[in-house]
Amino acid sequence: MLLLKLAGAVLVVGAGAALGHAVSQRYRQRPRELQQFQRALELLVTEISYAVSPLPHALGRAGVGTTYPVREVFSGAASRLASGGLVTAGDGWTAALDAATPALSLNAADLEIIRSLGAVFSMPGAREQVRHLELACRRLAQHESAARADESRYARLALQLGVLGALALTIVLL
Amino acid sequence: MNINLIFQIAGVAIIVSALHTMLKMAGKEDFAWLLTLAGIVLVLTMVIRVISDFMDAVKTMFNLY
Repeated sequence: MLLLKLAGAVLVVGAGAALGHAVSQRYRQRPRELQQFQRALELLVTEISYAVSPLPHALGRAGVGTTYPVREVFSGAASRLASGGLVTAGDGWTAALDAATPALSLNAADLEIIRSLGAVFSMPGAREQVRHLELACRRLAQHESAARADESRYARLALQLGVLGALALTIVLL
Repeated sequence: MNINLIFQIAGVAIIVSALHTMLKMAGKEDFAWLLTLAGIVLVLTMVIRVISDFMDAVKTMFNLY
């Protein structure tokens, strides 16, 4: 009986720690993903303004330096546009972003900035596109600094809350 | 008298106080106070049966029925 209680307590504490870890990982991932989006957009600006690459190719190249969830957005949009059909640049971008959203740790405001890039890609004129991309980069930089402040405040807190909350539950249930 | 209850209350108090301090340090004073309130309610629900038994004992002792 005591062994069973002990196993239950370990399971509850483990579940609490895992939950806290998952929440704290979202806080840790958000600034990194925002930074990767900024780097990729800067690369995209270069591709559009200097290399004058076609958009599918430019999106593919922009996503090269990024890792898993962010790369999915760029490679997904590039493959959707490259596959042809009646997909506009904006629709391809939005569809790729929607597909990758569950894996991203960004909040609604961050996603809104990135989603609005779909309309930018549909614009005629490279100069206008570059101007809007640079504006989006600056807004993402502001969000990144806020996300870094949140990370230093809440990432450890979430983990400790998970473990201590589970410990409190264990004490009550024992 | 169940000694486990005292240890349970002590454990809850230690954990709630640690969480209160952490939340306060993170600038979430309102959550810290809510958590403390939740801890008080939790402990009250744990001891309410004991208090009830105590009242019954007082009533029996002084023939207050």
